[in-house]
Amino acid sequence: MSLNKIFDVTGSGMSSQSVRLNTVASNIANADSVSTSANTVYKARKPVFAASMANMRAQNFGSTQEGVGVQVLGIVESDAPVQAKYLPDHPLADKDGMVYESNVNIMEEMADMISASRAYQMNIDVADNAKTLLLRTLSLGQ
Amino acid sequence: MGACSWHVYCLISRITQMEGNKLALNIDNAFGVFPQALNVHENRAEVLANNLANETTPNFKSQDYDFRSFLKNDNAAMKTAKMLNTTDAQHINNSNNFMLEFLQYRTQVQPSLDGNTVDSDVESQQYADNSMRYMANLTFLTKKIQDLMLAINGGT
Repeated sequence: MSLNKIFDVTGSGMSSQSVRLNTVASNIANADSVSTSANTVYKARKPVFAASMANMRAQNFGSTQEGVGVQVLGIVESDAPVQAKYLPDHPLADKDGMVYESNVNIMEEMADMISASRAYQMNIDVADNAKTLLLRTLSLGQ
Repeated sequence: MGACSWHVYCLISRITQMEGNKLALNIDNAFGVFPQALNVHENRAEVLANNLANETTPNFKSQDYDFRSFLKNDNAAMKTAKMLNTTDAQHINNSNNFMLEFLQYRTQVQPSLDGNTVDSDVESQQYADNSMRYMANLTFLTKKIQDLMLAINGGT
């Protein structure tokens, strides 16, 4: 039954989109955090998605298709430049009076959030539809 | 590729021709093309669901079955596509896998920066279309079963 596999596919899609939403939440929460040095300041985190092709193909060679689902390969920190501000009164200021702000771009995060939640909803719709089809199949002949 | 240009019943009737009718009466023939049609729709639903799940995956290429090229192929070509020779019990039988031959990458309408070719509007429309066809098949199959039941029970 390939309809059962749809639940795996949409499940992996939902889980990776929720990882994305999670990183967005973390980034927005830490958007205003500052630090004494450019190395220790919070950097925007981004998940890296890839189609989970090789794994599933090895496990389930009989599958009629190439790739099944999405996987999160890892979460990388953005290497966008960190902003330095001259705030000598700040308790975290270094000896030159500089504090370093995180490189989170709020606009980018909001756009990412909308994209992630739309994709999440789409996956739910597909799973819901597959469920309807399966239920109809189960009641076949009645 | 033409998205709505395929007609599953032509396709199925050719598959049934290929299989040959070994028994005069078997349950597959009694149900006509519909069981295999359900199979085709299930496979297609899986491919489309995978496209939608990978909507935001960089470099993911959207796929779909190209049934037009399937129908253009003659029976002999389809036979070789379907019947891969297996000379050992451990060889993987590809009898359910012949549709893989017709899995093609979708032509993109709007290019995206990250190399992803999934157009979620196209995919969800195709998915809805496919599930509607699946439902129609289920309805036909239900009617077939009811006909058989009527023949068995004699309308009592």
